[in-house]
Amino acid sequence: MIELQNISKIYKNGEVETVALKNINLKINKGEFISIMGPSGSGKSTLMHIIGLLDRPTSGKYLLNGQDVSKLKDEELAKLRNKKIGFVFQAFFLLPRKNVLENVILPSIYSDLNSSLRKEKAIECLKDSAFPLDFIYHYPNQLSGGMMQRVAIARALMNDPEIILADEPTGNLDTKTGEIVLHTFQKLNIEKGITVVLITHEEYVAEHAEKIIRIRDGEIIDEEKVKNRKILYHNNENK
Amino acid sequence: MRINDLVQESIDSLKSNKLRTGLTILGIIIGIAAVISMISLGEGSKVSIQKSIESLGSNNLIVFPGIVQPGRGFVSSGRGEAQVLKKDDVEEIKKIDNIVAISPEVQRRFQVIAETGNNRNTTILGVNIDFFTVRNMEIENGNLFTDEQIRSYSKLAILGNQIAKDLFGDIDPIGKKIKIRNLTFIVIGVLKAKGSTGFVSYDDFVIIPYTVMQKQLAGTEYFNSIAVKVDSKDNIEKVREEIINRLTVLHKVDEPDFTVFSQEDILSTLTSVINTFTIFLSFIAGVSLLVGGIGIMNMMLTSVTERTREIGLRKAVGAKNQDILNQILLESIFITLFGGILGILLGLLISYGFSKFANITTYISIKAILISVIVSTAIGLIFGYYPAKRASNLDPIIALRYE
Repeated sequence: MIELQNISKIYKNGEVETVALKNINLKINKGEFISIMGPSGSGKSTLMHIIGLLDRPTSGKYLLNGQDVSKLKDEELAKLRNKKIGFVFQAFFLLPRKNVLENVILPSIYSDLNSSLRKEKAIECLKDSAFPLDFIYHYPNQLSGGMMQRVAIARALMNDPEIILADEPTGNLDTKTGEIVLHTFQKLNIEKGITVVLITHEEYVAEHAEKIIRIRDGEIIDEEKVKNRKILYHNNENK
Repeated sequence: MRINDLVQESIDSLKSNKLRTGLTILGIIIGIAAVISMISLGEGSKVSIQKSIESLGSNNLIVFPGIVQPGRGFVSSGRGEAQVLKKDDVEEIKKIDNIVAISPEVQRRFQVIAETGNNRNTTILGVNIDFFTVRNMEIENGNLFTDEQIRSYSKLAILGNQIAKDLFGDIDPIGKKIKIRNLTFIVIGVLKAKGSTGFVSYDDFVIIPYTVMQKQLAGTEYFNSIAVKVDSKDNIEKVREEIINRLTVLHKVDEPDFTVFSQEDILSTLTSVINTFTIFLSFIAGVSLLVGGIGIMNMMLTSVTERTREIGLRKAVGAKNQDILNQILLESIFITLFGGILGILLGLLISYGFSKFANITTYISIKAILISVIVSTAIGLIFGYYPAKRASNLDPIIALRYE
């Protein structure tokens, strides 16, 4: 579903050229759960931005569901982000003056979802992200970090995305709440078949994925299956 | 993005900083209110000048001695110094068709002493009986002169409404005596009050037969002006030309040594003065509106900077550049629209205050209101565009990294 062919990203700052990504070739199949790992400055964030259609590669081809998206206009990229991709950020990025429900609804106001269906859909997403429904009218500053991240996940689910891109989603959380988030990702991956791309610099977090892609100095140096995958979600949990 | 979502998002963000939004709106309110009240003041003076000039009688032409230099207007004519208008001129004008009445006038300032001992220095006007027709004067009390009285040099006087009160107070002045330059006149009438007409007030005048005025008071055979009433508006230009032609021949000069004004001339001169004045006032008011507009730009720029991450996030979840642009633009339009409406209300209140407490005529035209609404919305668009464009062009990656 995601196919990167010879993707490079070069930042020009006057005369100085910084190579962020060099000839990246990567294939992520539908329903996969992969981690992208690397030290800071390795280019993993740039890679996520390109996969997430927030940025365009300098050269190379990006096929999303077979469609070349590397040359699309801003407007078309916005539409694809809206429909196909759900972002989860390290810093949550909830809008402080909107309550939980309104924050979750946000992506749907840019997608023409009928407004009468929004609340119902948002509650469903909050359930999927294991958010306690008693708090849906609270404001972000009244919530703990773990709860905020669950709101952010629900927001990412709002438009039924095919891919969830999570950039250090546990970076601001303690181990226990971090595990709740990772559990949710595994659940969404298995139950809904959503492709999950997790970006992290922690080996422990990365091991919750099926596959780890290691990146250093803008190049993929290793791609391996996780041998002892940490499984938090068991298929029969709800049964 | 749906319109109602757009409106909702814009109102939400305006509400998020009520004080700042309120202060910015206040800037627009003051600007619009200033413009509205200044325009209403200007329009009001125009209307009141027009009314008072029309109340002096319509379809009038006035012949003045001397030449008004082109471009220097009516006020600086220095009229009255040249002496060219005599009884012959009146007789000559009488021959012209379409004339209803001719009022030659002689005017001087003298001290007037009443029987009561009160005295005033005021304008004495020597007239014939046509004066009352031409100038639309009506008697409140007593009688007008008769033709016979004028021809026989009768020392009779008709008082303006105000001068009658000044000289006689509550006493009925009819039949009482007044002294002008040692000549004794008997008061036979008092005029109805007319109010100021913008540049003369007949309420302060003492009116006497022109024959007495010329022979015994002023010692002149000339008139200060000859006012002519024409039967209809359509004939005014024709009569004006006829007067110019006939008097030029009569005076045996190549170029007229007199000037014929119509009421429209006077009106348009005064109107142009008021227009200049209104434009000047509105310009000053406009400056405050401009400052209000800059206030909007300032506020929107601050608010866009504050919301950099929010804008980045909105883009990440699928907001198009156009969606962001529309939202910011709509926010500033809401400010100006809201400020505009409140400003109009305040402006109406101020003009009402002017007419109520300062006794200045104000007139509020729909035009002025429409212009203010359009101008204020345009200000929202113009001053909101730059911040909106800046917000919509934010790179989402940089915006999300913004601390």
